[in-house]
Amino acid sequence: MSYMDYVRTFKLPHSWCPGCGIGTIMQAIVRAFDALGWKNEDIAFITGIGCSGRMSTYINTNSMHTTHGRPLAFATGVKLARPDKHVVVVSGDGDALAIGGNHFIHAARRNIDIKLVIINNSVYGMTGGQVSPTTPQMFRTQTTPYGNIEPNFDVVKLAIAAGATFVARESVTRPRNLEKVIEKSFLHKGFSVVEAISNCHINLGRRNKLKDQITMLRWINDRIIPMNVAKRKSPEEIKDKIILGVFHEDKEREEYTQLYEKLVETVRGSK
Amino acid sequence: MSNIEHYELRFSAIGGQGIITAGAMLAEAVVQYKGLYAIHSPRYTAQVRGGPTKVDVVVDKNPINFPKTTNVDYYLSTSEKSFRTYFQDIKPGAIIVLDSNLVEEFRDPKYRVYRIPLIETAAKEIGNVVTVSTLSLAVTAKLTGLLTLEELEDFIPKRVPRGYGEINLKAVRLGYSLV
Amino acid sequence: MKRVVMPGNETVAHAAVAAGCRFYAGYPITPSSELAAEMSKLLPKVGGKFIQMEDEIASMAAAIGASVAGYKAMTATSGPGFSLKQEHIGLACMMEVPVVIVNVMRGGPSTGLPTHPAQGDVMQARWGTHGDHPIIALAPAFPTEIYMETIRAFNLAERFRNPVILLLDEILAHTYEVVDIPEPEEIELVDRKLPPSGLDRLDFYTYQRKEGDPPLLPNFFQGYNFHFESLAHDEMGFPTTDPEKVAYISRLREAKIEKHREEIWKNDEYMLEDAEIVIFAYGSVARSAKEAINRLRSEGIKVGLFRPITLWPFPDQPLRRAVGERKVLVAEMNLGQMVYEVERALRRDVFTLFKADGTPISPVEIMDKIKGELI
Repeated sequence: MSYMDYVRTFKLPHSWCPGCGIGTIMQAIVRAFDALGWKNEDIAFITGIGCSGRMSTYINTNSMHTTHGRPLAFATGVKLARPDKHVVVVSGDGDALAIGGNHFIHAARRNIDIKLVIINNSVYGMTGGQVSPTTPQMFRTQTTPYGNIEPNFDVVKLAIAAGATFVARESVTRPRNLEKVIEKSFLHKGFSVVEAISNCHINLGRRNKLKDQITMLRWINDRIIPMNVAKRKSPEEIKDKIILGVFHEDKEREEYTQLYEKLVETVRGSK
Repeated sequence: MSNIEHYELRFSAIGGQGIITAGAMLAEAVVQYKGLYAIHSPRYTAQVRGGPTKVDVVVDKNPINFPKTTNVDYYLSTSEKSFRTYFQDIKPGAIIVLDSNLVEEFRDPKYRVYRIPLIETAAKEIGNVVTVSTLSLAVTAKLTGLLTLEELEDFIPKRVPRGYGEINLKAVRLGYSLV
Repeated sequence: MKRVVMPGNETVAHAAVAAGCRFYAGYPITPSSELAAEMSKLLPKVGGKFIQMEDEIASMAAAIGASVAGYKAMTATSGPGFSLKQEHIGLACMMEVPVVIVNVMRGGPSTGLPTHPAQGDVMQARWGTHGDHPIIALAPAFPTEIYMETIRAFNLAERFRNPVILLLDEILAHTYEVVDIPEPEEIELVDRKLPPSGLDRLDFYTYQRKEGDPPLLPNFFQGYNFHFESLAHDEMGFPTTDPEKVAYISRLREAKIEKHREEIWKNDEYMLEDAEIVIFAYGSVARSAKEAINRLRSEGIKVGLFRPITLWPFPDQPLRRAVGERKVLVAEMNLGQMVYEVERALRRDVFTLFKADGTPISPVEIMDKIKGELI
């Protein structure tokens, strides 16, 4: 087996722009599948709408390209139907946190064993570059031509507060770390969230003096800081930094489908 | 009443009094013991406790087409407000049963009016206010002839929650003897 | 056969379980909530899955997800929730995934009359989701029929790999009535056809099929790495914008229902033979119509009923055949919706009795209309 066995090579070339971070994330995901030795046919790979949504076309497993913002809701049905299988969702920042925000917090609250990777490129890329819930303040986008006045979500804090039991953040500028943390999240039993910081130099960068991938990746690279390094810094030094690492891991809380199966046993036993 | 063609009943009360259950039980029992068709439709509101509520029961020899009451033959009420609120489509000559403690004096020669302290009887004489459902059912069964005492004695113990069989049988017998 | 007294909402739940439904996802909404409550009681007992989702959209999605994973799945709702579910109903049409949606109609638009009956969603059942799509909608009117039509809804969904909408209204959902429940062995069940398991890979184009057939798609985890796609897709299920391919798959999607509409159509004709006037009514209004017909006939007025049980696809040919040149009265609890289809089918104007004030159309209102305008 190689990680390419998880790719529908006959569907290549893919539809993403040259230099987009999404390819790095996709490779990290299929490498994690390969490292774990998961069988293709035991994986359900579900996406929503947007550039991230297209990934389900290329992943050689059971796959479903659904509607904008709702892949977690479909995944909940799949996972509850078949708790013995691996259910993976890839979603963008707009998909997961704006139109799909409700499903995100409730999947986290239930702690259902779905592995969510959020591709956070801070913009609606596919639709031409509109402001998203993670667009930095004062950034220009197609719909914030004078600068974005809205504050943005901290995905990690949101996920932890909502009840996710594995929460991590990584960056496409550190592909091996990304692969490792995704692999770790896949091994977690419960709702896991990996926020993958990515670049959209085309629809976000070009409006904000970051118009090619190298410039934009450098910009990301200058802002990230691994958690162990951040710990040694003063709050002032890390004020504008994006901290990377595993923020939360709770192995105690019971997973939803297991609780459901217990409930069924109790109900049927007491008949 | 064994050759019944069509009969309409209404039970009105304050939500939580247990009168809706009387209507439900009546419908189930006539289906089971008389081979008749019956529907019951509780008034559907957000307020479960404390407000005026009612249940309509339609009994028919044939499958029921229009599942609403249009000519009520029998009306039982345990609340003044509810009694007035749902005093509609009552047929001249209808039997009206009122809780004598909770509904004010009502006189109208068009109707056959009975006044019975239903809730007080359930609470004091039978010993548990929840038996007012069964008590009202028994009173109704007797006045309308829809069900015999024996049928109720068979039906009630199977229908009420476990442990409440005896006390409800007491309510059946008392109800049947009250009118 | 077992005779019980149940409200329509519970009847649907029991019938769904008898039909093999083992997955329910829903969201509370009046007047359908008791259906979810009954499913939450029944499903764990038979090893099925029940989940109350965070919203209407999510419950439609979860039901589709479970269906893709091999379950017979259902959701139920009412007007506002039905509006919210529309995008995903379209997705199930597009991906050709079997699923049953119960819509207990209440007064609308918007929040409207949550505790009162209406028939204002019949056009939404057909055209609620965007784009051209095939749909089946059933509108039972009597308690035992609600049970049997629920089972038929699952059978049609499985057979044609398409969403099937079961339309009730507040009266049918909340009125406790006598239901004759057949023994399990008397019920005919249909399961979706699946490709054989154990092949190295699917050696055919999954969305390609004989015109009129549903596609032969595998379930998730059946051993094939199959892709379900919400975008317009080709014969393998992958996105395409090639006009020829888009038109081809779209035609196949429509044809599976179109070619079998004679089997999907189901009508009740009551006292039609010698009738001089025909009432067209469906759902609970048809019951008032039956009562009105009985009373009018006792007065010597010859009236009959054409009652579609399948609303979509619309039974235009059966209606035309049954009615001929006779006078027609369309009675519905809305301001005129199915009447457009009736007039299309008959190619002429008809008499109408519309009411959308939260109260049922009574037999007397129908009788008055006929006596006042049709004779």
